[in-house]
Amino acid sequence: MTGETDSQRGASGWPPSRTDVEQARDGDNQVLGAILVNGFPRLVAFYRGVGLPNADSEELASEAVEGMIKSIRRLREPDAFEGWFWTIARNRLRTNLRRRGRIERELEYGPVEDPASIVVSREEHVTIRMALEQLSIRDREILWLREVEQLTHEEIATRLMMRPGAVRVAALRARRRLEEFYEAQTTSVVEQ
Amino acid sequence: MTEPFDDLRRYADDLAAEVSPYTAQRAVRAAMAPHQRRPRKAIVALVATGLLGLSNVALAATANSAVPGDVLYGVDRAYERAADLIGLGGPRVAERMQETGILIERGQVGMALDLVQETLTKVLESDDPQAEFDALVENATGMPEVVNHLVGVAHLISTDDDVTGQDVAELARQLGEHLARERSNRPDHAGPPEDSPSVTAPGRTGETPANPNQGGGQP
Repeated sequence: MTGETDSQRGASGWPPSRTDVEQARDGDNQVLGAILVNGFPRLVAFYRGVGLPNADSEELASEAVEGMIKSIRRLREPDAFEGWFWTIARNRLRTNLRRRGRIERELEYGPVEDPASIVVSREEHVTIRMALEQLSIRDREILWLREVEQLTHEEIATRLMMRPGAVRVAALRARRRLEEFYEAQTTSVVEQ
Repeated sequence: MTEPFDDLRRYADDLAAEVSPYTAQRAVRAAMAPHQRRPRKAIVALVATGLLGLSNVALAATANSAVPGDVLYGVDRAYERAADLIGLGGPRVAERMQETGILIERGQVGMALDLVQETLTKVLESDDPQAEFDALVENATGMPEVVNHLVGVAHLISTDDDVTGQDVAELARQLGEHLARERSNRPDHAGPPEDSPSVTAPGRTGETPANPNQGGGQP
């Protein structure tokens, strides 16, 4: 979290320290640029993780970064940086999916039907990637924010406009589904 | 078996690692750039607006001297209507009378007559007919016949609430006749212009025109 000391933060400098966030918010463009350069790959990973092609993911991440630059001044509480960051990231994803006219189909009726659009980055991730493809976009988002970005249920609830209890249940179900699909993928690979 | 969530985190790390620092820096620089370019865009927009405004002013100035029958006359009137709509318009009587004078000089008495008729109608329809009429008379200096006939209109406005468009048309017709006669009496004039109305009953100079409703008379 942003309240962590520099030694507690990862080698990638993520999440940024509270001091850095404050400086960025108060108009230090150099610090803001450094934070966003660190955050950009995470955005791309998030978009690719939920199923967007690489090129679209980078474009969407760029749009999200632009949105962050415009709204950083309105970030009142520096400790809320991560929640704010992922809210913007997620809003861009929503807009992108709506623009494509795919949101209804993908969110309400199951997994993405076009796995070929997902770039396979590394062969060793094929199992987790195939398992993710079986989940709905919402499940992927919740899992990503919870398991990868380590956001709390409360923070995710704010992002997804759900109650924390509902997020807890949804996250649990998404975890179970991922485990099932993951196991099924592993079994099928072993059988082959 | 590998824990799926560990695999998920490694997958996320690898996806993030595939984005080169150069790509991230370029994207962030590009995202920050519009904020720095905004002043330049504003300047371009201001200059473009200024140029557009200047060209409009130039066109309006050119069109302002046009008279009925000229190519730019429609533009002149359109600008006037636009100015009236936004509350920048004023009395147009002076300009109409100047145009009338130019038309008379050109020998286009028919057009001058139409213009005077239109102007008089508007004077009667205005909120302050008397003031408009005074402006009309003031700007008709140099055209004694015009002034002479307009005095009759003034009388109508001040004494008769039931002045109709036909009354005005009749006065305008008489005015046209006087103008045509005036022109034909000039020493340098070879004959009546082609579009002038037929002159049948020229009035005596200084005499007020006949009032169709009252059978004529001095106002």
